[in-house]
Amino acid sequence: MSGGFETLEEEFEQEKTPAGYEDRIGARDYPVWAALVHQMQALSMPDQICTGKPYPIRGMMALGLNHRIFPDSDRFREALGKLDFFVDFDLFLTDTAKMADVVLPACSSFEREEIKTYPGGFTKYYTPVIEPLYDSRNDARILQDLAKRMKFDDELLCGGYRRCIEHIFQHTGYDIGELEASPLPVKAKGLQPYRPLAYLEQGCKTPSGKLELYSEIIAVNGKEKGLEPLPKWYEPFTRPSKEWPFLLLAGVRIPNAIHTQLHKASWPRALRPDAMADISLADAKRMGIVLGDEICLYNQFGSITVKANPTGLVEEGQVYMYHGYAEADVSKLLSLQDTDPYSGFPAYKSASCNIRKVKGNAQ
Amino acid sequence: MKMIFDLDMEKCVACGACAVACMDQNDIWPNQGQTPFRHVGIVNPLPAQEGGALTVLSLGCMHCDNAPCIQACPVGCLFKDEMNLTVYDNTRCIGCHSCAMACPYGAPTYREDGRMYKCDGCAQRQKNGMVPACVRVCPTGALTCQSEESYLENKRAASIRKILQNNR
Ligand code: SF4
Ligand code: SF4
Ligand code: SF4
Repeated sequence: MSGGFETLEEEFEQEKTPAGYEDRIGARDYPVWAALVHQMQALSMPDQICTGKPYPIRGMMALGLNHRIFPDSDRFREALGKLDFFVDFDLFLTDTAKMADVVLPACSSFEREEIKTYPGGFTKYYTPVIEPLYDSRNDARILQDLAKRMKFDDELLCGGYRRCIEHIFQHTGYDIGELEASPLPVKAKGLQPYRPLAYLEQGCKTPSGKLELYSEIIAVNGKEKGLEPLPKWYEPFTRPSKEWPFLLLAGVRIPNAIHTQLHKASWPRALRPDAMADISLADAKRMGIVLGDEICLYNQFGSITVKANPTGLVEEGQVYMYHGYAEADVSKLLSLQDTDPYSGFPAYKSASCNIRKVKGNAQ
Repeated sequence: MKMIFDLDMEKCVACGACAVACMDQNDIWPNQGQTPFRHVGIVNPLPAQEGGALTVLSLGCMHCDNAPCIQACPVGCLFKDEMNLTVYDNTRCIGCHSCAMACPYGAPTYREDGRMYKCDGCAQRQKNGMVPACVRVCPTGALTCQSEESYLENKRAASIRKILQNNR
């Protein structure tokens, strides 16, 4: 629905479920998430692999998995090591990919097609700029070929990307060939102009059809876990204290790295070559820390050593540390237990830590 | 025609696109120890201006008038071309770093071969009717390279706009 018109994207995701299908991973830990999202909750995966409960996981096929963005990344790594068989697709030979039995080199988005919808009813069919380089391949193509080779009873998946797109867009009035030929985004046909509050006429997508403050879904699914159907304030998991005076924000991003995806690409990496923690000017002054000094961030879970970047962009009492550095993995300072009980999302922005100056910079 | 590089600091958002375009244009490989010709940064207010605003900027060679680097080079590697760009021929470079010491902006860089490399204003592109790579890619229009004439005209227009705005 992202473009303002209905596609069959959600139905497509649910079209086939594997035979002998049990509860999705994490469905028991996060029943509210499971009721709303048709995916597993990956946060439960390390425990399930290590304990075999509620059922064992022996193999995994992952697309661009990076264990370093999960809290307590060492635990995730340990779990990956316990798998009998692990296949990973990636653009780069990441530390996660190095653990895989088979690594399939995925091509970049410049080397493959992709269809995207945009708000306002626009759709763009991106065509590849160049053919995939070296042995790399379009990941959708790899999935298709695997499905065919393994003789999956799944006509759409075996049919490939274009076949799936035609299926998903069948009721939209778009001609996929026309879309592909158009250099510009194409507006959907017969789109009704937006009318404020129109969605209230059909009712909201809630059990009561109303805009709910008291969530029926949480009341029903979260009962066993004691989750509150009404909004409730929870304290941060590790509130900054005397021992851990800094609020640690690990869920921040370097735009040029696109989360952690381009950490290994040399040009964007050159814009910020070192693993650096951003701290406030006031804290830096108080602690005698200047740009480039080596500092240690530590708490009860672990410690990392990085360079300091005092900046006016950060408030006093906060530390911004970015994900995905092999040499300074901030996820080691986060606990896998500290997750939002409703969604299962990690507490990237409500951990705490302390800072110690290790070494002044040489200049 | 004299060309002038200009950065409108009210428009620059420190996205870094110019620096990446420059590395692409000039085949600079930072992972092999090469230093980029253009740097983008967010500069904190000076201690004296505590609580002052942050400055974002993109900095490369300024192609200065009376460029001090040119005068500093003992073997005459650096010179001005017909667009007033500070260009160079480093075949005679002895790697003495005199240009870097003279340059107020830290523009000259050095590589493993001991020679100096720097921004040449994308002189080849400009001679062939193209704008410099960094200018072409700038999404906000902050970075420009214009003829002296149009630069001065735009500057006058901007001052007039400012005066009018302030007197509203
Ligand atoms: S290298 Fe430095 S001194 Fe020479 S023209 Fe460029 S900015 Fe000016
Ligand atoms: S003018 Fe060319 S060489 Fe100079 S900074 Fe821009 S892209 Fe780099
Ligand atoms: S591309 Fe433009 S906006 Fe981005 S950093 Fe460079 S000058 Fe600033």
